[in-house]
Amino acid sequence: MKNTDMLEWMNDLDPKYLTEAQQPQIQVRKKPRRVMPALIAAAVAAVCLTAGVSAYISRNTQMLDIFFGENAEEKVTLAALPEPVVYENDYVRLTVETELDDGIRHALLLSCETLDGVPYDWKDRHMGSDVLREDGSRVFFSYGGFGFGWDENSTVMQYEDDFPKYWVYYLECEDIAGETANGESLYFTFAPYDEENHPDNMLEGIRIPLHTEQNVEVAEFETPESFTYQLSCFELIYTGPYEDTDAPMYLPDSDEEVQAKIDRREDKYIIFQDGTRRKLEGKSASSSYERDENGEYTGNWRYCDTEFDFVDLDEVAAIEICGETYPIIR
Amino acid sequence: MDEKELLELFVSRSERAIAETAQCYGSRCRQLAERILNNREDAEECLNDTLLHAWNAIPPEAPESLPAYLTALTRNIALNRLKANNRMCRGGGQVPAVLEELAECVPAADSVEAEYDRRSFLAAMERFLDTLSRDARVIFVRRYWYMNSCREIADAYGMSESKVRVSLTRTRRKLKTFLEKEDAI
Repeated sequence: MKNTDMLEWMNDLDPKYLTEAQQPQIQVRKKPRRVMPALIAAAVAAVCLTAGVSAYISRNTQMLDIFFGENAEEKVTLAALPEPVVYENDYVRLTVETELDDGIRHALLLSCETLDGVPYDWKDRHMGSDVLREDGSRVFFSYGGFGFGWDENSTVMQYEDDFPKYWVYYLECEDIAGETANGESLYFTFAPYDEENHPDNMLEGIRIPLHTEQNVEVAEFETPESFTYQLSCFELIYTGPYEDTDAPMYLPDSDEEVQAKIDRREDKYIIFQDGTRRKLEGKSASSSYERDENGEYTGNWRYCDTEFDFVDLDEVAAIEICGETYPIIR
Repeated sequence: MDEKELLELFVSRSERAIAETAQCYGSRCRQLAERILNNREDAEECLNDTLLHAWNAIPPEAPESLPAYLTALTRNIALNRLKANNRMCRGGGQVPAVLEELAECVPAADSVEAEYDRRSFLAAMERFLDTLSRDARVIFVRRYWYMNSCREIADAYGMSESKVRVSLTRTRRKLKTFLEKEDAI
């Protein structure tokens, strides 16, 4: 049978199909939606129960290495999303597994399944992306991406050309910062890279907010000088006067300075309500700063908990930084 | 004038049957022919041929649905005209694009070809159409039977062109699998 035969033979289709296709029909177009928080919670619980937390950690750790190079954990904070966030449209369920940020690149780790269960070939579709402003106008960002799979048994991550289980997009932090300096919100969206040959966009309508840190539950601490520390379930963020020796990106000149920095870095504890202390195992993460009108530097730096051992913020009473204790203020 | 009254005109051999049918269904048939032939004059001739054929065939034929019968006639006549002019795979109408899309569902020309006759194919195709959701089926028939462009389908049903393309892509993929299982290809 040839395609020309098929076209001609279809002429004798039962008239009921032809009549049906001529009838006017009301089409309710479903809006893409973010799945309700309860469902997200269920999804997280499911991840923990089925794959186990260790698999999740391992997956992310290897993700870091493959993405940011060796010893990635020392450079990268598992940034914005401690738990998967799920979006759906008419065709797919897209999960933002996590976001990673090393202060240079911001990466989204995604997985996607079709609602009808037919595998979707990301690579074949050359799914590209756009970054949009709130008003829908397009921001021209450079971005890259690759797909990979995951062997749950051997915990080996592999690049996958066809039907990758996970897909990574990464954007330059500098670009994001430049576009959001005035408080603008940005959204990551999807479009066929090669619209000519692959016009169908299974991810139509899904918009992922690029700045999701506001979604992270945070405990705040304040120094007597009104500088703040924020502790989320996986990282500590400091905002205040910026000292090179505290900044994670700073590379000291002498061995003594290196040791001093290590000491300072290690001298951070979470104090729980029952009086127990837990040392923060965080490594250097990202930092940014600016010089104010008096020539003083202010900025922030972050430490993340590389053990990915979530802290229950309800049980936190204070933090201790280099011998100083700061009680939780909210 | 409704369908039943039109058929009665044909049966009673009233010449009004032609004019009234053209009035009721001419536009639909002409548009279909034009989508296939990409030429207004050819489409007009095609419509005349359709009406003449209907006049000669009814009676004894008694179509269940006159509009479906007329559009099927038009489609057949237009495709035959295209074929006679050896323009099936080229030209600016919808046919070359439709053929290219349908090629996804059948093997390349040099592969082993299963002998599948017209009747078996039709039966399989109708079984396949019955497996689809109504939306997917209507979009498929609109595209590959009525040769509507994706834009036209999108406009008709208030959906995005992208959604139409996605639906068609997925239906073609399902059709290929279905025909393979049926040993049709």
